[in-house]
Amino acid sequence: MTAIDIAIICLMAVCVVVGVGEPLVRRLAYRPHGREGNNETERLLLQKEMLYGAIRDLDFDFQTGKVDQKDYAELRQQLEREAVQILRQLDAVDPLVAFDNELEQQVLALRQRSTSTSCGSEREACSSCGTPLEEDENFCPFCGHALRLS
Amino acid sequence: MSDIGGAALKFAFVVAIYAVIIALLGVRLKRQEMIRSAERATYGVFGLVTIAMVALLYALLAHDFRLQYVASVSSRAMPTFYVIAALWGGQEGSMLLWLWLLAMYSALVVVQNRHRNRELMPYVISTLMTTTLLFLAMLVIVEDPFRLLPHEPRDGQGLNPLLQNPLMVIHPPNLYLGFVGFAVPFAFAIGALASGRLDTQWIRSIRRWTLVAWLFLGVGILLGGQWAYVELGWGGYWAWDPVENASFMPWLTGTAFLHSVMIQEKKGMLKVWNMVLVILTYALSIFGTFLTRSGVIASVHAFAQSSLGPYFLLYLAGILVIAITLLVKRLPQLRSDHRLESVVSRESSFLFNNLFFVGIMFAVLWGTMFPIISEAVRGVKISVAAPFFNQVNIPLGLGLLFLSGVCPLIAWRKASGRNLRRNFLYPLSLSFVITAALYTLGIRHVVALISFAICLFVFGTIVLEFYRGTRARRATSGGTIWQAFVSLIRRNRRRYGGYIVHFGVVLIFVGITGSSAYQIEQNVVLRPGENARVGAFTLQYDDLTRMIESTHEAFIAKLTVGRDGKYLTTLYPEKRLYFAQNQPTTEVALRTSLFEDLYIIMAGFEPSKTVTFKVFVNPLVFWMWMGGLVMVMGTVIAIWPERRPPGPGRQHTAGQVEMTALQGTN
Repeated sequence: MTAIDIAIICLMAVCVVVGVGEPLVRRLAYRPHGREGNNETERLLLQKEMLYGAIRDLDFDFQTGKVDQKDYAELRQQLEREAVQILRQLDAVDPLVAFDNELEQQVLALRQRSTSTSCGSEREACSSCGTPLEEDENFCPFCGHALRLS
Repeated sequence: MSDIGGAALKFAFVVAIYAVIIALLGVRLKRQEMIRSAERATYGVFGLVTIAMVALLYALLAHDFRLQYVASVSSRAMPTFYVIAALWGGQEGSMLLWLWLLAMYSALVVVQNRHRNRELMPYVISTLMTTTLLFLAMLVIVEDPFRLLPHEPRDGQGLNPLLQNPLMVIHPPNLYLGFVGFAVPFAFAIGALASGRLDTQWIRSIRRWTLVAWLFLGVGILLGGQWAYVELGWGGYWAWDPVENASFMPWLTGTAFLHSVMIQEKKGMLKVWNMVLVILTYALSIFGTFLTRSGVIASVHAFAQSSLGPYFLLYLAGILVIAITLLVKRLPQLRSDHRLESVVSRESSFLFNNLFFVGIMFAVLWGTMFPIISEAVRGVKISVAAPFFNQVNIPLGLGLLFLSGVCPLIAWRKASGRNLRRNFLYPLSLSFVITAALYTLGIRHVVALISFAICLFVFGTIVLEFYRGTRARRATSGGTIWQAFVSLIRRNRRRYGGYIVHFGVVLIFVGITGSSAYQIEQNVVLRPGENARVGAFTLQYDDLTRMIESTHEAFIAKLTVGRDGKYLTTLYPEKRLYFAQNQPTTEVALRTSLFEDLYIIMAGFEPSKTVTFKVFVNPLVFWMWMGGLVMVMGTVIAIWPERRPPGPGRQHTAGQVEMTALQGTN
């Protein structure tokens, strides 16, 4: 073993000990949840995502002719009911999310109104993510891309 | 440099032990700094193993034959390309590569989850580091790649000639990336079980990891098949050899998991089953490594045999006991959120698909293990040959292929008879018409006809899915057909990537069917100037020449190949004798085309230059390799990250989900 080898091995050992040991001399707050927040909220949000996904799938299956009108109406109603329940629970658990939901409900109502009025017109898509846009939107509702700077 | 490599491995061993202990201690004592230190230790292990890899590579390139490993797998005459490949050409080197990939995956997992899955991460780190420890222990104690020889030889023995093939250079890293990759889902499963965070979050976190591991393992298997095809010279690409089966089994359960996990994500069902599949897939990866490393089963391509068997078995038993104990403990929390709404639904068809996958896996496992079991029970080693595997797996495989056509046409949750009739009409008609045409064209092999019929049916369903999806997309968002098609795939990469993978599977089945049912095999003995006819080809044997290369001596026959009276190509099958290993090898002469491969090997020759050729005509093999490429393409589409809206908080995501849900329903 040459002197250079020994020096490199020592350097390696020092680097590892310092790198691995350094956090131990600091005092860090224990964060078992990271940025995910409360356990219950997280669980409800996941369930909500699952239900929205199921609604999307059901709609797509209906559009591609895999589900009958009758089954579609029945299943969609059932899923919507479940989604409402989850949203209510979410409201009870986390007021911030509840506020968020309320805003989104209003946006939804506005969007539906504007969709019904602009039905049949050619819609443009967001240049950043490709989401179809309404005429009066200044920002993409999906990715937040600024559409009109003025 | 070799001292540095050896020291790095020993340091890594200590650091990995530290990581396992400090991570578990951190979560027990609720000390964030300990968990952070465990994360640093994971990076440290990766850094140290990288140093060991570089040291071994340096020793190989510098022809440092003091090292036993370097002397046994490389020689001065070997091209640099193969000297680099020799890094994983032997037992110790391939274990080191395995370890390095695992350390790299572990470090990536830690980086990726700095702010996510915090409850799971201490357990994930300790599980990954325990696996790392297994390999480190074997490399430090049993198979030290930096072991020195008492005397430095003037030259090395060189790499096994069969491994001196470009495919063999990329095949092992691919396979290892797959095998090792399944450690990540397993670590998350253990993390979820140990921490009690059993919602679908952990499943989402491992989706891409599983797909990446699955992709690499699949590519590795196909490359291995291609290597066997062009290098081993027996005319085929798959022989149900234990080593092949070892890589196929985790792929089967991994594929089953990729399907059943969708049910858990969408409906919160099959939670226990998914856990079992993740554990089984990982256990089979370790078991596969055990099979190939321990030498317990005779195999045509078990290149590495050693005393590592007990280590693997001990580890395997350990992880199974821990995983099953945790699973049993958490059973009450793993109840399904929903029940099946209808037997005729995509959910239930996925269940059948899982049964088929696991059924094939057990058949393969049984066939692979039978020699050991028979020896243990009756004292006689009875080997199981290809006919057993084919007899069991062909019907199961075809059933599975059929399901891959049926599943996409059935709606989630519930489907009615009328819908089914309407959806199945076109694919079934397409299949019936073309199969009838094939029959009239003279294809009478029953299994081949059934297989082609199912392939056509599945192809029809995939086309129909894309057509209907594009039409629905265009109806809602307008634009040209092409724009609607691209937008359809972009909006649901996972679904349409999956269909493309299914199309690749169809091509592979076409290739397997053609080459198994219609292979022509003929032995011809020719003297220079004579010719023979095999299938539609005429072969004229021109001459036999002898050449001396730096590593080997070669006898090369020249064959002029014609078809329908016209010149087609000239082929040169070879017989080689490698000096260093005193090992003869056969070099295949291959002419590939869209519809059939002409595959010629020189079985033997006499001093009078009379040569015995073994000629195979393998139809549709090309389709199989193409199918592999299509599968890769489909998987890449499915893995490709979706555009995520900015903002780190979950609250933001919740808002966006609603938006997405609304847009998706358009």
